[in-house]
Amino acid sequence: MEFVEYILYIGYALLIIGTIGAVIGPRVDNPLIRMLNVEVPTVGVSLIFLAYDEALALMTFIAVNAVLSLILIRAVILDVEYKENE
Amino acid sequence: MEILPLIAGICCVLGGIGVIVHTNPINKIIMFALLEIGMIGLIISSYYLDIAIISSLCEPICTIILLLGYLKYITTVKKKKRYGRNLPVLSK
Repeated sequence: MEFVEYILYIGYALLIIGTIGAVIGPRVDNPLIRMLNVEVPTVGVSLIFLAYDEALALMTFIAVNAVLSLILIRAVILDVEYKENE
Repeated sequence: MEILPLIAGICCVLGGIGVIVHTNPINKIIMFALLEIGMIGLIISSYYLDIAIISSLCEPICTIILLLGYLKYITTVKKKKRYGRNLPVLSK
């Protein structure tokens, strides 16, 4: 097996595992756990970018992903606070 | 095949399964750090060293954000007071 195919198959495996886990994983009624499950297909997409030699896309995707996790976890906390105040 | 892509691939697959299977968010964040380490290893073994710099800087920041957010989340859930923070006059 070539090295590029090896990275590509690991990326596909992470995409499938992460998607199934984010939809029907254990205890996904908690929004924080569902958000943490969604981080797995992100790494799969990054590995597929790496396998197709898209260096600039990979760098941009990794840098935006940190900001995205900040916004998502802030949204989860605000959701819980609004549910408590009602 | 060399030894670094093999270990990085094992780290990636075990981290991905571990993030899905565990239910405590602290354990999920630890397994997510393992997954990111596997991804950095695969990037380095394909000689993209500049992208390895960017990912090595951004992913610990992401882990710290997740840990602080989880602590804020668990503080908000466990909080028992009913009046809320937005009306401090009513609490006195």
